[in-house]
Amino acid sequence: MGELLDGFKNVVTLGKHNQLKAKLSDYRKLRKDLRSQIQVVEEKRLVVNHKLEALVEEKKKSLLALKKIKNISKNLRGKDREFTNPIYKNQTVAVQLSAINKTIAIGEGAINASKGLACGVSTALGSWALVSTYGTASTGIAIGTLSGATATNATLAWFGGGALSAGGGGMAVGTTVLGGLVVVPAIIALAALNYVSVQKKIREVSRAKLKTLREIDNQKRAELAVEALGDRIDELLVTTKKARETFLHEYKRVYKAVYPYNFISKIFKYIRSKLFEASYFTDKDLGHIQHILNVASEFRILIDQKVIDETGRLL
Amino acid sequence: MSENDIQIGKDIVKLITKNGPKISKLEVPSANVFDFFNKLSNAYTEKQITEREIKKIESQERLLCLEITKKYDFYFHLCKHIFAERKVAIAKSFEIIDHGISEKNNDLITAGLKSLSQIVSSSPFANLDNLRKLLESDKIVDI
Repeated sequence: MGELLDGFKNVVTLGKHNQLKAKLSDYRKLRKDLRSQIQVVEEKRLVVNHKLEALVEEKKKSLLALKKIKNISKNLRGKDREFTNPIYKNQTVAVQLSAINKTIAIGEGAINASKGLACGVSTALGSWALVSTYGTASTGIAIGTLSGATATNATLAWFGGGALSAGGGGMAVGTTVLGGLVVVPAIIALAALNYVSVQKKIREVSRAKLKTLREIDNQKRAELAVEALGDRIDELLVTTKKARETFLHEYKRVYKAVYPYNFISKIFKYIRSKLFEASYFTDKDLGHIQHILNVASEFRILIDQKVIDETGRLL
Repeated sequence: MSENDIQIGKDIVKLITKNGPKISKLEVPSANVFDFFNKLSNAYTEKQITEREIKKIESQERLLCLEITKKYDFYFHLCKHIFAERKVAIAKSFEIIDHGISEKNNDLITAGLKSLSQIVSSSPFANLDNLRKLLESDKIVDI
């Protein structure tokens, strides 16, 4: 019956019925491709979400490590702070310390704001660790707009949340595109018994195919952006961890050199500075301190490194 | 002719009857011959317009298909290449740092960290974006 009916429809529509059937078959295949592509983006999003959480955690650890610098710097006097760094030619110790303190203060603010919360990417801590707020030149590669989100918070929510928090993201857009056409073949193919009518249906299916292709293009772009972000986070994770380990290693070395007998050394330095009005640190100590400040300055840059700007674009 | 075939034939006739008014408008000449030809010519014009539109959509479709396959293959490859290159530079900085630590050489440690922070603070996507703009501008690049 089916074949006979098809044959009849082909006669009535001068062969257009078969064309419509072929178009619909192509469209269904494309729709399947889109679903697979959405699935790929979703899987990669979950992977990147874990990486982002690991980066936030690493930055938190790094900030706590950097704070140790205060154990040494608190005893630096004004004169010591004006000492110009030979490696950082135009920077005095004061300038270096001020930049380090700024990093610590901003990070501590974010940690306090997120107290009691997990290190999620969509928390204040996540924003501090990942989002640039000082107008760093963006590369123009947006993640937010690709996922349907328009701002950084939405981008972070997209990474931090499930598919439902996509904010009209790929999945939702995909459904919208496809929704209206599921019923097209059944109703139209039966009703359209003349050439022009079927031709119009072919045009509608072609339009839907183009729309689906555009959505696949969007999803591919999202996949690229998410994958690139994942690679960037891997890079930051590895380098920040290395810098933290190096800083902690050097901090211990410097601390031991400055305070070889720990508490006794501190008392000795205090008495010497009070009784003899001498500098709390010796010149040799200042050399060690200078070194740890240099290490901390670079470490700070890595902690401050962000991955997206306020508009949700990759940096 | 079997009974089944007869039933199919009946179904088809039923279908034609159901859609009768639509078909008859085009196929059965009305008393007014001019009106009939007018309808035919309208149908022809409509057919031409729709055909043109379909061709336009299909060419956009072909272009987009080609773009999707070629463009993303290229970008994914480029991205991998950029990060692989940076990985090598980062590994070199790690080496310098480790060497500095084992030698207790402060200058080496600072130099290693400085190069590390320079690599990381330079955006891996800056060149990618320039390239994207260049490709989209259709400019001819002299090599």
